[in-house]
Amino acid sequence: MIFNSLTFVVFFAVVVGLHYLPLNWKIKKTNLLVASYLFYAVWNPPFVILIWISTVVDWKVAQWIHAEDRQSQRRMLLMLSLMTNLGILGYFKYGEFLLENWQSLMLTVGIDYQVPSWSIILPVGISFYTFQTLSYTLDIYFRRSTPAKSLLDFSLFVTFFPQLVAGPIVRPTQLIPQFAQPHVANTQQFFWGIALVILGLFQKVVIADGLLAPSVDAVYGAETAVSGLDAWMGTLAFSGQIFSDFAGYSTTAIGVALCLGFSLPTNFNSPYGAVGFSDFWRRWHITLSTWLRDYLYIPLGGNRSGNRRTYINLMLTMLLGGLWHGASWSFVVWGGLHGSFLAVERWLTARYGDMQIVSQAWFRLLMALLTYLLVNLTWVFFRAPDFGTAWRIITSMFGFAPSDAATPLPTLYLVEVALAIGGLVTAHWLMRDTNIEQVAAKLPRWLLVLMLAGMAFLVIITQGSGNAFIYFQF
Amino acid sequence: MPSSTSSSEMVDYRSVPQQPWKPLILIATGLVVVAIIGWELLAREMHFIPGAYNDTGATWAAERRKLDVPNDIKVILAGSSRLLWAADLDIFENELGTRPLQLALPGTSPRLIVKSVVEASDFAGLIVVGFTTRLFFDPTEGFAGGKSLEAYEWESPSSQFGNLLYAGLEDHIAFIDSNFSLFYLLEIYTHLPVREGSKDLLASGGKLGNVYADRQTDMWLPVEDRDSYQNQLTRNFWDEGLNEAPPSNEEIREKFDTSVKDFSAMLETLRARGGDMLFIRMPSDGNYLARDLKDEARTRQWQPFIEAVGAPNIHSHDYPQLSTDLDIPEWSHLSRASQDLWSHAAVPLMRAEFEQNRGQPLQDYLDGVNEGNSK
Repeated sequence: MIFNSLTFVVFFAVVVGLHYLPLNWKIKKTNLLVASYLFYAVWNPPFVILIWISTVVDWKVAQWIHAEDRQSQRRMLLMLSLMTNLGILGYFKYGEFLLENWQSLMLTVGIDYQVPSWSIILPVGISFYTFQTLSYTLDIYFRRSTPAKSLLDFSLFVTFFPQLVAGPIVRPTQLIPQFAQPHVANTQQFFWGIALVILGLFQKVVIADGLLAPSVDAVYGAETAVSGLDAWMGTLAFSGQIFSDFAGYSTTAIGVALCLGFSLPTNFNSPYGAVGFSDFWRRWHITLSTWLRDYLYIPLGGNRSGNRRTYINLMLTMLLGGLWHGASWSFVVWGGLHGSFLAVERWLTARYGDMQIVSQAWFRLLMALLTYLLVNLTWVFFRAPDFGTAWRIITSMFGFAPSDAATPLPTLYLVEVALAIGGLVTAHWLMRDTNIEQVAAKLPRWLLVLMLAGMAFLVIITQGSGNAFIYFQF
Repeated sequence: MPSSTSSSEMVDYRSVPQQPWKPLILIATGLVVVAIIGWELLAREMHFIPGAYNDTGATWAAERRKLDVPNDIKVILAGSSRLLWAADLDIFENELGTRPLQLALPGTSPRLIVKSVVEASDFAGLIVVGFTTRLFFDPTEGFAGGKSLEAYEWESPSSQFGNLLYAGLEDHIAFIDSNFSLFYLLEIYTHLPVREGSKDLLASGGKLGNVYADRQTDMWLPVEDRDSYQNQLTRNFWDEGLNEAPPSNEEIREKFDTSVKDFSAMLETLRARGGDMLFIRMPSDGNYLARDLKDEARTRQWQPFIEAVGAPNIHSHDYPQLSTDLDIPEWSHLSRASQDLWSHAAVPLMRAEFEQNRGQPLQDYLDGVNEGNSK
């Protein structure tokens, strides 16, 4: 089920209605759990079984790890959890990719290894809930927390519908305690939650799908090279589309949860106002980047084992982070580019970070623009359907488009992209040291009313075809 | 050590900005309601009406699924958009005594539809196959074939429920027509300087018809006016297609041979279980007709195909009541009035052609088609 659908409107109304009935807390939690399974099952019912497997395995394994003092046994139990969760993820998400690469590898040594077509449907959001449930077991293995006392609370933590399929990826210490105690929203929380839902849907339906997607599709769907202007505008449009799509989902999820009385963490904080790549990753998909930091980068040694090892850890983390997004070498390249930029930035900061110029406003603005432009280069690999297309776009962006390059974007699309991206980047720069709550608190009431009404109206009249969120596939 | 279960010390609760959110949201809701009423009035002013549905893959899939349960369907209409706009289902039902199943798909070769019916159902009645030059031999999934078959083969429960809700709204609200969405309107009504080589937004097609229950499809009122902007948009779209580079002779030959082979095999299968096909060459006008005449489509495509397949057939050019007597405002599809004329005229000709070809009156044949077909 997707947020921008009529089905969700009806579903959410029923869930809210049940949540505010005078029932005891256990029944309300059971309602939320059943609703969460329903939310997932209406897309493809059999895949709920995968969530059940993850839930049961991690519930039991975490208890066993907690009760076990022998390190070797604890490690074996952790392996059991990792193999179950990553095994399911590997089969469904990476099976076909691994097989294709194995075939290619065999071919290079002269073995034409043919296997039957392996058509696997990717369960929606599998990477998100797998990482979420893994964090529970890992926290207990690292003795950062104790097991949940209630299977109901734990099941709801794995399945809580607002963030089940596309995050934010929530830590057990953030969510399970909220399920342990009765939570309903007060009037302020409920209506602020509605405001966030309107904002999130506006980002997704109007900005991402309505305003920017046609330009992206026109440029990245072109069969021949496009002009430099088209390549840049198509890529800038994608930077806005992917942000508005994903941040729109997170904002809606946060709003939906808040309407029920639960707090989810912030996932985006004006990323296109970032000065440098370290800053970017503190602002983009925050719950994934902190997950990778805490459960991959730091366990690998982080920056504790010398410079060389730090760079290797950084690169490994970003390469795996890239692969997390999808089973394709282009995502690995995307992760590799981010890893490289982070490494170069680290090297430069170590040498020149103390220079006075670094703290001057004009320099920071320049660095923010440079960061945004470099982020756009990485988006090319993220969006292009293959390396051939990515290479054509990059070539055009650097001014080497052939003389007969296509110009697929009509004037209207160019104007739309320029306005949307100009507005988005400016807003991110202006909001880089604040957040949506602080901004909303300062705005005059009449302006808030007009903005909320305007956004809701535009969502309704854009109406689209209920496109799924891009991040569902990850 | 923090506990996962009992401590809420680790929970980072979200702050709520200090504003009177309830009255703000309620006032905003009121404004939205007023704006929506205005938008709905504008839609109706522009001839969008409640009760007309968006013809999506799901609507076709719903019709196709009628064959998968016990049914008394004896006639299926399988063609491209011309047959969709030409057939009035009520008139067909009155004339034939049985209501046809409308499976024609815009921009799509009927081959996909016939294949789905012949190979994935036990339908044993008459398939009326609309013949639109060029499109008929298209080996691809065309404009609507892919999404329609996909929706037929798998539609999530969420999507099915959503379609039901949407249809319920469409019964009462006009503005949710996909051709009245904000960004589509911006594309066709914002006239900025044309950028050389770019996609022509005024040649992307537009609303052509209203779709009702059972996929009964009528031409949209503004398109019927030959001088209207909407009619011009549609003709721009046709012209864009007509101006595309023609396929090579080798390609044409290959497509033709494949079509003959596929339709012959499907006809044989269908006849083996008592069914049959009747091909109708649909009428056209304007630049489409000019192109067909220039290409000698009848002698070079229609006749060889019909001879090779050997099925009952009607060519619209042989009958003024199926061609020159009709109004085809945008060169390709019949107006509402001409839809009635075509439907009234086609059935008697179908009867005559069928009887001549099979030696059995069509009505007797249809009466004998087994009821309770289901897969």
